[in-house]
Parts: sequence; C-alpha cells; structure tokens
Amino acid sequence: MSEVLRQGATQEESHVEGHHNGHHNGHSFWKKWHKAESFISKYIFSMDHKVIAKQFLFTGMFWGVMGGLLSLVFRLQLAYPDTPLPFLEVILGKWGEGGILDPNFYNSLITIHGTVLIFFVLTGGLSGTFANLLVPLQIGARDMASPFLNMLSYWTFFLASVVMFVSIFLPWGPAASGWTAYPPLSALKDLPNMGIGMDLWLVSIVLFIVSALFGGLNYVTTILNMRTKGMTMARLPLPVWGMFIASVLGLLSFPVLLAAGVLLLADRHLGTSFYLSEIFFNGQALPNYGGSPILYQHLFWFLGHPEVYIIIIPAMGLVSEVLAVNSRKPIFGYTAMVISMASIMFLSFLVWAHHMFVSGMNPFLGSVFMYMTLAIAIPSAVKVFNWIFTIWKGNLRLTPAMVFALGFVATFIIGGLGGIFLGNAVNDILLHDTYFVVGHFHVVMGVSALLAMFAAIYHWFPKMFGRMMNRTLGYIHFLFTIIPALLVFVPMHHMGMAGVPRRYYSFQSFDYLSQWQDINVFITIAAIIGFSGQLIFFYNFFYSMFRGKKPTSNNPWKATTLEWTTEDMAPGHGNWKGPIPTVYRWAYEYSPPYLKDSDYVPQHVPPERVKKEPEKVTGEVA
Amino acid sequence: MSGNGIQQPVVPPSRKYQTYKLMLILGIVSIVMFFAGLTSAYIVQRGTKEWLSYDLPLIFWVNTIIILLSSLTLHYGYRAFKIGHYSLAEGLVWLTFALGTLFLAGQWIGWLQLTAQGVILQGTVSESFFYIISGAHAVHVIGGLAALLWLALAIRKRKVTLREVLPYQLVAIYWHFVDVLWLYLFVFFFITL
Repeated sequence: MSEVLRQGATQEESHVEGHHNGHHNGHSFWKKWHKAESFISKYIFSMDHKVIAKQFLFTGMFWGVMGGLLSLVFRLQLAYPDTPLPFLEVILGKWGEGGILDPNFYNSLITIHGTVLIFFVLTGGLSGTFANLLVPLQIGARDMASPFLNMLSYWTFFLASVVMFVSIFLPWGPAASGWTAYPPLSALKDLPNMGIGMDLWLVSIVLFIVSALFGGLNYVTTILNMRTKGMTMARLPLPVWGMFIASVLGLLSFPVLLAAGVLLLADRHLGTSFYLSEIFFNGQALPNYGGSPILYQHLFWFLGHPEVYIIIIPAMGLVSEVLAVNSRKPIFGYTAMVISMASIMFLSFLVWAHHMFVSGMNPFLGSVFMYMTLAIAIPSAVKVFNWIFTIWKGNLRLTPAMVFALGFVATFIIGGLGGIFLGNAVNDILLHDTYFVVGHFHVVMGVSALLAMFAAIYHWFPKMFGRMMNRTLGYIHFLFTIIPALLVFVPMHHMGMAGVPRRYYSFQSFDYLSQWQDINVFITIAAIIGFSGQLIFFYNFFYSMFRGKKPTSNNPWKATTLEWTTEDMAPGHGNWKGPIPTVYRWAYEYSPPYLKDSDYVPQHVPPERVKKEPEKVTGEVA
Repeated sequence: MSGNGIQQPVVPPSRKYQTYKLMLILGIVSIVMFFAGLTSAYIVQRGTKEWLSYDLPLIFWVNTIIILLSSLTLHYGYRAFKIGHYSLAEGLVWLTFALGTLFLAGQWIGWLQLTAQGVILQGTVSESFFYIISGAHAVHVIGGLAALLWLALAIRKRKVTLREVLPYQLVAIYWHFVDVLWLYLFVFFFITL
C-alpha cells in the first residue's frame, strides 16, 4: 500500500511542477500559443479555487445588476401605471409599446427578477464566491478536493446564466410564471410568454442545480477530508461551518427540485398529466386528467424552503466571523452557533408546507407544519442572541464590513419578526399572496443576505485582489443601501396587512387598492435611490481592484484565521509557498486575558510561543 | 503568483482515496434524494381516485435478475483484479457491461410490452410515473455503462492496476448502487401498483 501512496505522491508533485516548468522552447508561434494557453488555463478555465471564486463573484454581480434593473422596470409600472414612459419602448421594444409595459412582460420581469436573485446572486454569487474563496484558505488546504469538478461547477453555472440571459431576449418572451413556476400555468405551452421562454427557464434551472450539486460535493468533501493538521471540526471558523451545513442542505434538497422539474418538463413535452387535471383552455377541455398542481407545490417547496436557508446559513457564518474579528471578542457561544445552524438545517426539511396553508390541506397537517415553522424561531433567536453578545462590550472597530454585518443582524431581526406572523396558519391565510409576504422575504433573505455578501466582500476584498476598498465610500454605500431597502420593504408590510395582493400588474381597478398609489410611488423612488447607491459600490470595487491602497500588513483586520497567513496578500496557486501552517486552537482567540500588547492569538501560533513571549504574539507572518 | 515553492502535493495521496469515495457517496445520496422525491410524489398521488393499477410484464423480473447478476460479475471481477488476474478481471467487467446493456434492452422491451398492454406514458398518472421513474433509472444505468466501458479499456491498457485500485472501486460502488436502486424501485412498484 505504501508504494501505491508514494507513487501517487510523485505523480501529484510532478503534475504541479510540470505545470510551471514546461513550455519554454520552440518557435515564437508556439510561445505565443502557450502564452494564450496559460492565460486561458489561469483566468478562464481555471481550476484554482480563488479564480473560480472571482468568476462566481463577477457572474453574481452581473446578475445582481440585471435583477435590480428588471425590478426598477416593474416598480415604474407599479408607481405610474397609466403614464406612458416612452423610454420603455426604447429599451424593451415591443414589450413597452407606446411606453406602456406589456402585462405579460410584467409577469416575466418579476419571474426573472426572483429567479436570478435567488439562484444566481444569493446562491451562486454568495456561496459560490465565498465557499470557493474561504473553504480551502480557512481550513488550510492547497485547493478543493477536486479542482476539476470545481471548474465544472462554475462552467455549468455560467451555462445556466447564458441560457437564462438568452431567454430574456427571445421574441417569444421570457418565462412568466413567477420564480416558483407553479403549474398549471407553467405546464401550458400555449400561454403568452410560456413557450420557449419557460423551457429555457427550466433548462437553466436544471443546469444550475447540477452546478450547485458539483459545488456542494466539493465543499463537503474538502471540509471533511482536507483540513490541515490540528484543524478539528470544533476549531473550524464559522464561515466554513456555514458553507458545510448549507452544502449538505443543498445536496439533499436540490435533487428534489430536479425531480419536480423533470415531471414538469414531461407535462410540457411528453403529454403526461402529473400536474394537470380537468383544465379548460381557449374554450376547450384539455385531455390531461388525474394529476394535481398541489403535487408540484410539495416537491417545489421541499427544495424551496431549504433554499432560503441555503442562502442565509452561509451568510450567517460570514457575518459571525466579521462580527467577532471587529469586536475583538470571541464569538459568543461557538458551539451553540454550530448547533443552531445544524438545527435550522434539520427543521428546514419539515416546514415546506407552510407555503401551502391555503392549498386546501388538512388543518391538522397545517398545524404540524406551523409548529415546526415556529420552532425555527428558536435556533434563529439563539443566533441573534449570540451575535448581540459577541459585540456586547466589545472593542468595536466599525469597518465597512462591520457596519454591513451589523446591518445584517438588524434586518434579520426585522424580517424574522414578519416570519412569526406568516408562520402562523391563522395569520397566513389572511396574509397569503399579499405584499406582506413580499416585504417579509425581501427583508429577511434578500436584503440581509445582500448585506452579508457586501460585508464579506469588504472584509475579504484584500484576500481576493491584494488591495483595500475605500472606507468612506463603503460607509456611504452602506447608508444608500440599508435606508432605501427599509423604505422599500417596510411599507410593503403595511400594504400586505391592508390586503394588497402581490404580482398584480396594476391596482387601478380596485378602490381599496388605489389608495396605496402614493406609497407605490414612494417605494419606487426609494428603490431607484437604493439601486443608484449600488453604483458607489461598483465604482469602489473596480477602482480599488486596480488602484486601491495596498494593505500595510498581511493581516489587515488582525484576524486569527488561516487565510491571513499566506505569504502573498492575494495568494497564487497552492495558497502557501511554504508548508501549510498547523493549527493549535480555535478560530476566535480574541482579547484573551493572558496577552498584554496584542489582543489576539492566530490559530497557527504554537502555544509555546504564546507562553514564552505573550506580549509579542501577533498574526504577522515572520 | 506561481507556486514554484510548493513542497507538498496538492492532494495528499492517502486522502485521495477517502476523498473520491466520499464524493461519490455524497453524489449517490443526492441521486437517492432525486428518486425519493419521485417515489414520494408517486405515493402522494396514489391516494387519488384516478389511480390505475396494472400488472408489470414478466420481463421486468428477468431484468431484475440480470442486473443482480451483473453486480455479481463485477464483484468477482474485483476479486480477480485484487490477486492480479487482470485479463480475467477485464473479461468479467466486459461481462458486466454486456449484462448492463442486456438490462437496458430488456427495459426497452418491457416498455414496449406495457404500451402494447395499453399502459402508456400519456395515460393516467400511475402509468406515466412508471415510465418516468424507470426511465430516470435507465439514464443512471447509461452513466454506469460508460464508466464500465472506460474501466474495461483502462484495465486492458493496464492503466488501472493494483497500484491504482481506486477507479475500480469507484465504478463498482456506483454500479452496485444502480443495481440496488433498481431493486428498490422494482419492489416499490411491485407493492404499490
């Protein structure tokens, strides 16, 4: 056996060496060719987890802009329903004829907005970026367990993006069924905007699921198998725990969405009736008989609900890290943090039917799902409690990352309170499909996950690009994000309580709804300001990428975790030039009482050194 | 940027074995969830009044025996492989491949016989489910056949030898899984139809 192992080792080494030494002789054409080849393998079809992280980030940012722009178009419709806006015709063509938004295209806009923000930005963009960047760096690995599968994960994600993007511009119109794609609407090919657009939507989602599964397999395997010496599971930084739990959740729930999608495709193209029964369409009875649209809802929400935790659990992990580093205090209740994330994961499989209280389900069953749903408040409250006690009496450093992390905790509390209303079946039957729901999920998983993503970008930007982002612009960006976000979504809660239904093209025909017109204008203006605020971020991001200040030390935030121990600020392939550091303690040794001049002990500093010269312990690389 | 000072292999080889096996097993868990989703959807729909029961043609019993046999040949192939009888191992992998192909052909014949019985894909949900679920299984078998084909050729070229047993183990794990998955589906349909 040992011979086999040694053989494997030399092969691996020669592979790594060969990668850097070969291709140096021959004609100039071949030189150029190899140069191009190495550019491609370095930046395009890269297997380096940090490059893949950036690819996920850029794709996510692109879809963030796209999704935001789509929402502005339908917000304009909601604010000024009867006013022709000529520029709409310029940008939308036949969907905005005469400056009036086409009602079917309105449905397409909300569909694509929801889909791309949930899947492409907050799942692909958030987990894809930071799981790739942080998992190997924080556990002390040279790369992912399978760099090739990792590359495949990004490129299937990219393909999913391309398919979705193409579907938006086809003359038959993008899918218009809402991000949930409920049948019978989504199963009937002949409805407006439900032909090729819907098929492409399904294909794109299938590709996305495959990408998420590839990614998840890699993250879980890497975390379980590739930790450096001394890095026990109980010493993992919380972002890694978050990615781990969310990946397990994804591996168990995404395949069920795939099953739902396969049956939906069969209904659309093979003539089956899984979701269809007794439907009259264009004055004719369809032949489909015996299926049930409720079946789709069960399958969909079996993923759909875990999906919101696939988004929020990594965000929680990232925020925990940022809060602890910038409070100079250990995270409060590390074990409780891990257990609460794990119990959220467990409970999330038992709550899906709370999206279906009005589907005619047995009230007894409804109450079971209601109790399970309300039980999620317990681990969530544990987490909030721990975050507050982490910053309690801490030595707070309000870096841009820190203010965004604090914003995450605030919006998570605000949005979470709305969840307690919706989790009760009795309330939910009244609030179902109203703007209360829209306001709730936008605050609790949209805004808060975005704030966490921004916190993580500001915090780990130096690790990605070797430069710092501008602080002042960061604070301005924060204010222009959180204030408009709350101005947009808090009024929606009030609208929902007054019974304003979601997904309506216009509220002009109903007296009890038209009184909300002024609020709709207000929300739209706030949304435009909020979107414009993101331009500050984009300026800061791209400016800092090339011209940002270089950090004065390798550990600009004075953090304990391993990613700040690499020799280069933005490390190259293999992460550490020397051996991988060994880990001696957990990730949150901040302000221990035995230190005098320093207030943290990095994970890789041996205990003997701490004992011998406790005043000199810092995270600097010697 | 270049990692010219790397002193350790990217993947420590002792972990490589665990790593790929774990990855495969996690992938299998995902596939299990996919079929769990389909079969639980089937159970939910089974309670409705439009449910149609029908008998599965005899050939599905034959197919079940064939795919069980194929696991056996692959297992004996591994035993031969482990004592260095590469040619025998290769032959048994080819036999497994043949049995797998036979299984697929048998499934195809089974679907034709079902259709001849009047149980069609576009019929009631209970009929459609059988085609979709067994079809999805067949897709996974095709993946397994591709892996077997690769394995047989790799053993012939002695790329997979005792120095490198992992590929055989991975292919075997997946193939046994596909086999057990069919056994589950067959018993499931046998009980519930």
